[in-house]
Amino acid sequence: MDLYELVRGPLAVAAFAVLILGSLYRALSMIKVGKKAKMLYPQASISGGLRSILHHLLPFGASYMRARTVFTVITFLFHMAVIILPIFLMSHIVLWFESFGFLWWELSKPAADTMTAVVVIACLFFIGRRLFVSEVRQVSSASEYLLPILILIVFLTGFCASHQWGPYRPMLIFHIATSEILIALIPFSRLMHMLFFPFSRAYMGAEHSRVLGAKDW
Amino acid sequence: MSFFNRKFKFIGWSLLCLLLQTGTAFAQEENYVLAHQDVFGKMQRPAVHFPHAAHEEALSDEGCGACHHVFDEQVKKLVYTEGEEQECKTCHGLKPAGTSPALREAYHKSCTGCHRLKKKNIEKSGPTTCGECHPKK
Repeated sequence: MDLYELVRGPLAVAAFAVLILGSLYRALSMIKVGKKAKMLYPQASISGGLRSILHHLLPFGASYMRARTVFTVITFLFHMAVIILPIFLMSHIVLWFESFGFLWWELSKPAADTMTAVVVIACLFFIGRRLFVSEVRQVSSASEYLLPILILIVFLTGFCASHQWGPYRPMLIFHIATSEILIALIPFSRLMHMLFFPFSRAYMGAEHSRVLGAKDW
Repeated sequence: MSFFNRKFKFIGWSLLCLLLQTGTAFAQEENYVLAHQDVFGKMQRPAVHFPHAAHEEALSDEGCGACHHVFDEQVKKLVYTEGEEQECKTCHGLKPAGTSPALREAYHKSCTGCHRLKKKNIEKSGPTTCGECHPKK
């Protein structure tokens, strides 16, 4: 089989299947663990939980963000670009159309290039931060270095393939293959915060809110 | 005798010239540059160099109807009528119209769709990736 067809077809389906089934598995195991705990949370407050989610979704909405201006700006731009770019990139939309026959709104090329630059700069910043800021280095595991490196590779190879820099076909195949590894890793790595962040945030906010009257933001 | 011979030769050559001339007038270009700034405005990707003659040869079994079609209002179907071959952009525009896809999607569906199908059936095929049809010069 043609290598491009392999990564573009069956492996893409496999990556999304791992993402969906893996996320379901993680969510169900989390519910199971939650049910096992024989604990009462009399002090838990729903509004405190919701307010905590909201505050952590807003730029400079939490005190740790206000204390780190550069980090906050970079992390918010990074998260917007890393989600918006793959979904609204024209080349990706053309592939979705090829497979399923529907289309949606697309980014212009300059906008896509800017977002790629944002992701690349942010990944370098995150890796540098883990390497050189001692309090961050102490809580960093190997996977937390590898994930931003993988994201960096995915976006750089995507940029090179799009601009036809370097050997085009191998670059494109490598871009798709590494993206699929990244997608399949989501349920089994720190990237699971994509789905789990509202729960950990709500828990923290709810715990601190009623009795302590404290804000966790 | 030789006079008649020369006369027939002259008529024969004239007819042949006329035939060749008409032939050239209706023959297809070998290659087309597909860019269509008139439809798309500013191009997002480099132009496609489409080898028409190579496709005629490769699709000789399927015939011209493999790509060329018109929408028949009565049977509500795409049909091929010989001698009525038109450019894609005659009907397909910037935006889709009803069930008729936009020009970009019409091209991608016809070109990439056919190339991928042929690859799947392990037949002689064309490019399937973005940059192979839209190469940067």
